[in-house]
Amino acid sequence: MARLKVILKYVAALAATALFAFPLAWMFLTSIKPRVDVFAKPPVFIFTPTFENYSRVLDSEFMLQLLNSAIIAGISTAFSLTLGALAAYGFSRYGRFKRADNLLFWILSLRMLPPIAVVVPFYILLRWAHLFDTRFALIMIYSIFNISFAVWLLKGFFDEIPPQLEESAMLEGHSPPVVFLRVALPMVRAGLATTAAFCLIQSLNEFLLALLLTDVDAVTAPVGLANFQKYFGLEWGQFAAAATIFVVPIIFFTILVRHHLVRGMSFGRMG
Amino acid sequence: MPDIELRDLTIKYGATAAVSGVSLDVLDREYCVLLGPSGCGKTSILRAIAGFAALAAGAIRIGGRDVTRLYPGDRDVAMIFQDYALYPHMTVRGNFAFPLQAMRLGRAEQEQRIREVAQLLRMEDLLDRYPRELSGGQQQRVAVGRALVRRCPVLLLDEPLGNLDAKLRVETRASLKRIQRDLAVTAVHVTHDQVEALALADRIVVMEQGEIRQIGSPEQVYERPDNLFVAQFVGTPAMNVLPCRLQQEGERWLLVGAGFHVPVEHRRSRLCSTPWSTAAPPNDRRAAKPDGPPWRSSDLATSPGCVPPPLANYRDRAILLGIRAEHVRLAPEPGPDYFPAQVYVTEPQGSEVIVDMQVGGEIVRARGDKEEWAFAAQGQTEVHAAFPFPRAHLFDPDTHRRIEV
Amino acid sequence: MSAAAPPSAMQAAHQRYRWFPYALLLPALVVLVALTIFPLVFSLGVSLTGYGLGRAAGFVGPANYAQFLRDPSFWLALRNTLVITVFAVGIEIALGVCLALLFRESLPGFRALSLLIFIPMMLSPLVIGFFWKFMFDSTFGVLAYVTTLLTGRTVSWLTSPPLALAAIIIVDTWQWTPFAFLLTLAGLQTVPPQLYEAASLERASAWMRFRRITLPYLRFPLLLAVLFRTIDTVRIFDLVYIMTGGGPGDATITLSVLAYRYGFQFYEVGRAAAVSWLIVVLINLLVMVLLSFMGKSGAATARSTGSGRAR
Repeated sequence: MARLKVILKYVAALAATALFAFPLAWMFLTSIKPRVDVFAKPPVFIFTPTFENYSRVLDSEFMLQLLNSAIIAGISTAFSLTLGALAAYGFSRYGRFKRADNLLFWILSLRMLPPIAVVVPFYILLRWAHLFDTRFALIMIYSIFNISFAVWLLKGFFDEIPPQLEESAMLEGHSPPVVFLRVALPMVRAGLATTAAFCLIQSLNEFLLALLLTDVDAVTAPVGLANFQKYFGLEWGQFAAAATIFVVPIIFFTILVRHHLVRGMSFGRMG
Repeated sequence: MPDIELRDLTIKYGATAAVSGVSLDVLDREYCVLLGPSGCGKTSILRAIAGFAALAAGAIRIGGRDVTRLYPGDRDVAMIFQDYALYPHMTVRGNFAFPLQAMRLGRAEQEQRIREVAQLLRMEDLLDRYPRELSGGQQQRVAVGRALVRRCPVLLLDEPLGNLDAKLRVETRASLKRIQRDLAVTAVHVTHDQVEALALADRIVVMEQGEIRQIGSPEQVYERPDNLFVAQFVGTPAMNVLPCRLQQEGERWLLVGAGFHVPVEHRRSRLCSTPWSTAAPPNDRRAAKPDGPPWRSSDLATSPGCVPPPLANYRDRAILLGIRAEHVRLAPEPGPDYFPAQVYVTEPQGSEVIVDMQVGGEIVRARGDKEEWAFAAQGQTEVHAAFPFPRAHLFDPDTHRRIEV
Repeated sequence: MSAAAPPSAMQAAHQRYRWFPYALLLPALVVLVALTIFPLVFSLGVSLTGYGLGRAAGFVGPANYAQFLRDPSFWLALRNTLVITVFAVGIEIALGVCLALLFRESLPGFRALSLLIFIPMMLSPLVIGFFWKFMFDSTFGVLAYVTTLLTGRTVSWLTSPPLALAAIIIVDTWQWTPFAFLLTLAGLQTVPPQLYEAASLERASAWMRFRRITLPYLRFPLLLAVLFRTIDTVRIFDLVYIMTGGGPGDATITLSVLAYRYGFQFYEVGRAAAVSWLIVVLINLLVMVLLSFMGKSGAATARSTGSGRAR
């Protein structure tokens, strides 16, 4: 009887996994299908794989868009992680002043801001400052969300370090900045990696702001993917290839943070 | 010139005061132990000396310097933390080197000191290990070494033996004392374990609820507790405390309690009752031995109504009588000033035995040699006990202060 | 951190390093303030003007707000947003809990399988939306094919209003059920196993066990999941934009898409700003609710678990 239960569990688990993995698997399959098979009706599961979709995509401007995405996400993450780590440590260790909670709340609310709310003023501002369609503009704007996320997540990690280690270092004569750099920071290495991964994922995926605040030069990958619809209409095969390329680093980062997935998705406030 | 001076220290957590107006001098090269139950403020004082606690009021001087507002690193103080606080991402060598790096010593000097400390603590072969690879006892030694490597004149210890097993605790105790002597440092050691305190301290500071209850050498604190709290906190098993009344019975003055009585005796000037009977009750071998300093006949005088002040103030009033387990007398048969007691538990402790018995309605614990008290250990439940007055400690029932006799 | 915690080394205001906390906090705060205050204040100002393409910015007062209250598209957008939110969040939670209960026992291989399930919520809605669009496509889509097989009729998902909305709900649910799954699973792991052992000694039924033991521990994670998902779904844009663009017609328009339309298709910037501000207010309310739950429930969980967690 117990055996049967276990078998049933596996069946259910595999079914659930299939349900959630199917669209992605189908997308990958589509990306290696020859054009004929992509549009076959009824849909085919057996075919001879080809890389023509990929070579098309590699030749297109999608690669430039990927590069833009990488640069913007990378620089914004690095910048946000630095400022965020400093502030997180500040709130964790020196955060018992009046209004500290108000400030933290405000920072969290930034993370929850709907991009649509800031798009219009930023649009006007960027136009006026001749920063429209630049990578720099997106880097700074993404940093709003990334810094606030980093502060919240890293504060949780810093809170977990017992203060005795820092006290010991202070007593030994090291100044507080040195204590931060050489004692506290190394102890949150996991937290820094997790935060970085989440910031990268969020920055890479961001769409609305990239759509409305770029035109040609600073176009990012998601916008590029949306353009497939506009300019390449029915090129589903190529879209599937581009999407697959785009999705690979995201999956990679997801696997990287699997141990801290709960924290990252709920900003470390689970119970 | 005292090495550490605390003046009117007040430390608050939120609205509650953990330490209220405490003043204390720790003498140069003294081993001072702050002893008390959790929450008494001893750790707060230690952390204040280190510079980790914000003072609501008061001042601290170390080596003559006012350090009240000084950064911990500028105070030239070393500390061994309760949970060791070793840097997990550094090797043992790294843990020793890190403090030295803040001192800006040359490479050679650093190596030299690390080697010395490793030798002192017999850790030469562990230098390249990480803290997580070490046993509890080894981690503790690394914590000690890290504190010693800077050669500070003041060493603070926050319950350093708390996480060790019993055997290791005793061994490490001895080595701590030896290190303090050899290196001639002033040590302030915080603990709730009174056995530890009695073993290590030059002076003990007993604390309760943010205040000092008594300061003294281990002998002083053990043999002349100033108040009820100190009397019951120090000593194992805890001192027996029983309520009684001072009453006159004919020519004698007695302390009378439920089921027992103790004749009052006064040592120096006046004698109020016959001295402890030289005709010892049968089989009370201990009575044959002298108890307390020998009396001189010139001390003796007879005079009516001679209850010594300040005890005299308590005529017909309630008093608390304290007597340590090792001073309670037991005899298998009745005798003068002995009263009946029912044994209900005996706890063998190697060469000694602890006897729990009922006197009146109260439980009294007595400790004695296993052979002398074989009768109790072997099941005789009706025994006879006595409390010799010279060993009794008397306390005011309201203020809990010691009553001098 | 409780209010009565001992003052830490950091709080002791040492003269020499008083500047340090400021150095830590100011850089991030300055950047954040600079980047947000201006746009938000500006946006508020613009929402009160008639700024639009080819029109001078004249102060129009709250006319923008009044105007779109009369616009039927606004009410449709509000309705759609609420429908999507309620259905999507509801189904996500229900399915997520079921998945968590299924995967709770860590049989070999379950970890890898659950990792696969977690992937959709990490991906861009662009990728997901677009590809589901392909699958729903009435001519080439595998889903359309399946539904045609099942119902015998040609079903056109994305071009018929009720089905289009349903499609969006299906995709959003598909993407975010793993989130509810994740949080619930984490919550299940906080239940002390001794409770189940005691219950089995007392021969409690599986349903009783679930109701009395498991559910109280799930209250907090589920609340968290509901609030986070609600806040996110109210803002929904990427998915709708890529799958239907708000169409057919206005059938699947949501608040964010409406604001986008005002601002960038009709160039009614003033009105776009007004809608945006409304969304901000709505979200802020939800965030406050969220925070009060995190504060309260954190304490409540700590109290109720008693023996489970350290005092």
